Amino acid sequence: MVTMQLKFPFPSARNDSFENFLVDGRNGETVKFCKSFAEGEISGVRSLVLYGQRGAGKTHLLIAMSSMIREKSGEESVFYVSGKDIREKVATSKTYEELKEHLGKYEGAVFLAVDDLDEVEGNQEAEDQVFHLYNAVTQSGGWFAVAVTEPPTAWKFSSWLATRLLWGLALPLNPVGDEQKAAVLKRVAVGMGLTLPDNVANWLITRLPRDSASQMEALETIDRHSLSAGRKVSIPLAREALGITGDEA
Amino acid sequence: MSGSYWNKCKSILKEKIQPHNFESWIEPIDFISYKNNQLELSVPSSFFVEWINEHYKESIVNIYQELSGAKTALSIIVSENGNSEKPKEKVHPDSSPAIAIKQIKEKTNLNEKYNFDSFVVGKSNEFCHASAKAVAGKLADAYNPLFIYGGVGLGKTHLMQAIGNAVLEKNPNLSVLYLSSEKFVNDLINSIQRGSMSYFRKKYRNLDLLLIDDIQFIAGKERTQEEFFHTFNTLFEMKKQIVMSSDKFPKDITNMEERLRSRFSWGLISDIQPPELEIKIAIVKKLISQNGFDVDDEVATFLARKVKSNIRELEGCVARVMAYASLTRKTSDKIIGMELAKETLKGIYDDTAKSMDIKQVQKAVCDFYSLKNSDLRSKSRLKSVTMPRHVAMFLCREFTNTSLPEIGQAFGGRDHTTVMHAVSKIKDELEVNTQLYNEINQIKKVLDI
Repeated sequence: MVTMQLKFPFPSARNDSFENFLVDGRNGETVKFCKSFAEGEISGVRSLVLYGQRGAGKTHLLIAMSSMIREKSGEESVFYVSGKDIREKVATSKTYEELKEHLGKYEGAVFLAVDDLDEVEGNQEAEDQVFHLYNAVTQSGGWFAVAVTEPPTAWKFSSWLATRLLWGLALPLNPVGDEQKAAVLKRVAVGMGLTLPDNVANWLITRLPRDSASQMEALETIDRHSLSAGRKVSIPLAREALGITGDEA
Repeated sequence: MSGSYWNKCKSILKEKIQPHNFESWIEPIDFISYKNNQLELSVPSSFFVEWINEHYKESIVNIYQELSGAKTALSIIVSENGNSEKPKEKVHPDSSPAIAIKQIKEKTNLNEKYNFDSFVVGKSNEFCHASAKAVAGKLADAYNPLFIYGGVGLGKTHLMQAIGNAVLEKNPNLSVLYLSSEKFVNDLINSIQRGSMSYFRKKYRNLDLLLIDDIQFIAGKERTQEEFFHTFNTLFEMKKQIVMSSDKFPKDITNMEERLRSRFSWGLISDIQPPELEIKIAIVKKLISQNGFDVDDEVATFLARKVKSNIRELEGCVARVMAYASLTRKTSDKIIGMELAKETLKGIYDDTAKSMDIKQVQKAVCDFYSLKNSDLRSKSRLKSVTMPRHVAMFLCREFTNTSLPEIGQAFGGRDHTTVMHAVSKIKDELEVNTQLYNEINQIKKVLDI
């Protein structure tokens, strides 16, 4: 697993990588494109937009790309920032100088990932800042990636921002199906020496957050609890391990 | 001794005037001599001379008199070439020309791929292209400043950088700098914070060619406008070339000081219009062939029509098709097929060509020319009706997926050859009739195409 040593901390110190991203027929092509983008295999393209519903794995892929670019380039200047952060910095900065103090550090990035871009939609000043960041990063030879919920046809970004975002790749990211998630969880469990019954796998993917990192983390927690308790994995044990109360089984 | 007077004089002035005024006006002054109670200073431009005489001459003279105890006269001259100490980029004699030019371009922020050869010229951009070439051919001659304006993604940046690249190809020793206005803002903020305004000014006021993109973004930023105003004046007076781009005409940029707006219009204002379908098709074919693939007319037209009026998005569109073709290996013979093109663009663009129907076009044309829909369908041969009818038929042909017979039917049951004639007539007219060209662009804006 890739160790994240990003200059700017990623959410919850997640260890998302391409290796631990669940892939099936619904998202396989997009994942392949993201990997090729991060490996610099797509010539002439310096930006990428991932669009898809919450829980599809957009943040996971942004982080996976960041890790890969950082490893390949050996550069420290790999950054992640959320649209919400940018919007808040715009709102709370008393002067333009102060705002640039907050955001200026991203301009020399080798790779800048902007998550939840929906958060700046309609906020002209915040959109302008994303626009400036896009220009600064790509014009100095860096890569720029964003994640957004809506597809380009539904965007209401200003034309100067939208047109830059559409200069590169724009990829839909669909969540993998529950069956695939359950099958992958079971496969990973086997790799950990853990027997995961079908009903527990199905329970996990329907009760837990849909992002794969959370589910992997849950599996590891269940494994540790099973070992320490000396009991086989079951829904009650999983519920205990994860601290989930209530009659949800 | 006299040099130390100048340093003391500066220290006293620093205490007396606002820091940004000190940075702007006193720091750039160079001491030349102080002989026989005659103080001689040099400044970067004649504008500077006027400013110092008007605002600071008295203070400087008074301070000198106090320091020296003698009546002092002040003379201010413009430094040789405006900037005798100008730091030119040196080309190492051992370097090959290509390497030397590459090194220079890295410092100029220029991207080699943006040159005049790679710019596809059509009616929509030929004027701007010609003016950019003229500027590149002779700096600071007739067109200074050159102000390029037009919508997003139409090639403003490409032309600006092409000017810079062409100038450097001819003379690698010239100081050329391309940057966004936001970069100028950032540089200014950093220089103020670090107390290095003197360096900032030398950097920007000693250029032979300043290319500044998206100048509209300095609107509302007073300090930046002030600094850019002086940068502009200095360069202009030293007969150095300034090229700016904006998505707005100078007078339409709000929150911009009038003195700047008026300066933007001193030279040539050159507009760049959305590309015609033919240009878009040519661009698609060129980009695809550059990637070693081939595409037939039908697919090229499909891609060109998908992107309404924006070359940057068209480039993005082709980049995606190329990426899909390369990574999914869905093309065995290096030919981009329709299926691949459609699959690649799914969900990214509105299907304008399909969603736009004849009625929408007819309504927009009638609204623009103050006609009734029945006029378009009538047998009237009045020019005030026939021209709008031809325009409407042309737009239907260009921007809807309807066939010639269907268009003829919607215009009073006319024959498809009548539609062909109308389309051809408008195309010919567009080559020579600027008014019609502008009218059609305005209707296209209403239709959002």
